[in-house]
Amino acid sequence: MNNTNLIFRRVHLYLGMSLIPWVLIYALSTFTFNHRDWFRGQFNQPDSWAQLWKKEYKADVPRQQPKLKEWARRLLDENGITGAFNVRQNRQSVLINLIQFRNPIRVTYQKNAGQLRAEQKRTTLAEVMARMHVRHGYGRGGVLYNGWAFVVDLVCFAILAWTITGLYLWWKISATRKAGWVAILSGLATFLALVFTI
Amino acid sequence: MISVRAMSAVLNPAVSIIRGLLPPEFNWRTRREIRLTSTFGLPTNFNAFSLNSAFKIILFSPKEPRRVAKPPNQCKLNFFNPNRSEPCGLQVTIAFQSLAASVFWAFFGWLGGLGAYGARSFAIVMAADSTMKKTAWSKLIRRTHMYLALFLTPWMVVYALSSFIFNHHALFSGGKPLAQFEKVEELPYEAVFSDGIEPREAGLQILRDLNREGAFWVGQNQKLTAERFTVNRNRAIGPERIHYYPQENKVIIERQKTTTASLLVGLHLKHGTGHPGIAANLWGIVLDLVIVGMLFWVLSGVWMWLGIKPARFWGGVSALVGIGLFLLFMFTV
Repeated sequence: MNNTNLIFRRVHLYLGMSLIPWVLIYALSTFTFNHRDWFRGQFNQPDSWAQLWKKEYKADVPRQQPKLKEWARRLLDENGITGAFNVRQNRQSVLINLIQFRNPIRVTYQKNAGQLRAEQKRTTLAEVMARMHVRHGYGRGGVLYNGWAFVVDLVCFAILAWTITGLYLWWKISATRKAGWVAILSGLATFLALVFTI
Repeated sequence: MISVRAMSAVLNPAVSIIRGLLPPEFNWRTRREIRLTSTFGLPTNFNAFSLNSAFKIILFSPKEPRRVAKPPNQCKLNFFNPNRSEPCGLQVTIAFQSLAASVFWAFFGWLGGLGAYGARSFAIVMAADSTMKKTAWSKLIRRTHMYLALFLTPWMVVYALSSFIFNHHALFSGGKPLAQFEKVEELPYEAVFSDGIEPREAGLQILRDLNREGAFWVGQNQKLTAERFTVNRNRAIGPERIHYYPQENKVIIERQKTTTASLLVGLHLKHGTGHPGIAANLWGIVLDLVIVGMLFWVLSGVWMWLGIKPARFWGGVSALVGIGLFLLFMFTV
């Protein structure tokens, strides 16, 4: 076995071995998206939010988004809640969502009533997988949040690397060339015909 | 033994003469019987059915000339602005959808044939030499791993590239939507909907009326009594938003300009079955195949790794690092 062949085989294998959990999560969560009706009971159940605490609170809420974010950060720190979050507001309330895979928390501030409420979601396995599937992007939290985005990039790179090394390894097995061409061309024809008519 | 000469190449008129009834003397040495036993009765039955049954109305009645909206040589293929309402647009769409379905199922027919042929060789190897069992299994798994991957290459490349776009959205869009919708048509449209119709059903009716059937979605909270009712026709190339204004009896059609990034993202988001039309459902079926493929690649990959002794250590390290990192993310992010 020459060097190139060995390098391609090992890259294909080791990338695959290290990314097994992500491949499984993406596959299983896609199944729940593709057959949403079968998993209807697993997503967004109305009684899935349980109250953690509720208290009286009065504050002036900044209107600009960067200042609102700072205000929300201070509010969470005061109440001992850590983690990356999104915040948005309307006339009546401010909603702070802590984006966590397993147990998301939301903190709601009712402006007129002067009331602050924290709730935690009772989550299902399908929801956890779906959250992992859709999580992407840098700059939303600390090192670990950016680490996840880096792994998403790594998965993208890995799929392309598997494709390139896979094609090379197929080409090296001369007995499978004809059948391989049939598989590639029929896949490509199906794909193009679907893209142009869907 | 019956002589070959006893079989006549000439069409036997006995059936037409007796109008489908058995001859008075039924002798199993008759020509009729010979034809039945040597050709499984197919020509005789065909004659009988075509001459003496209701099928003859279909088979022998004068055919009506086909109605073609426009001669085929005047049809123009416009892939980047497909519109079913244009002349021949529907025929072209159906032809391509049928082609996609045919190629897809032909591939699996071919794979099935190959599998059946392989299974025979496999059975022979298994029966002949028990020491070759492992080799036979290994070959079967390796080949399935490879052919499945080769067939699904376009889908995997699309998912990889589109995920990169999602992960670096600002880089591709500059903080704006990937591609803008532009108004392309405004048409008068009057429709009667049944009472209590579901938004999705109403959306389907609008698409049918406008000759735009295919994969679509509608917001489930929309009401036909509102000022505007929007149907999203999510084509791969040139997705459309159809705004129906019930009070004004009109529709406004907006189409998204297709860019490479918007096309990839649109394809990434397509899923589900139960859409009108072949193509959208077939996409959902292929997506299930992608899922099966990913699970199979993991299982067969681990199996193959165990068979490569020099790669066991570093393969094990890679797997443990991956699992460890994943658990860290799962419990802290």
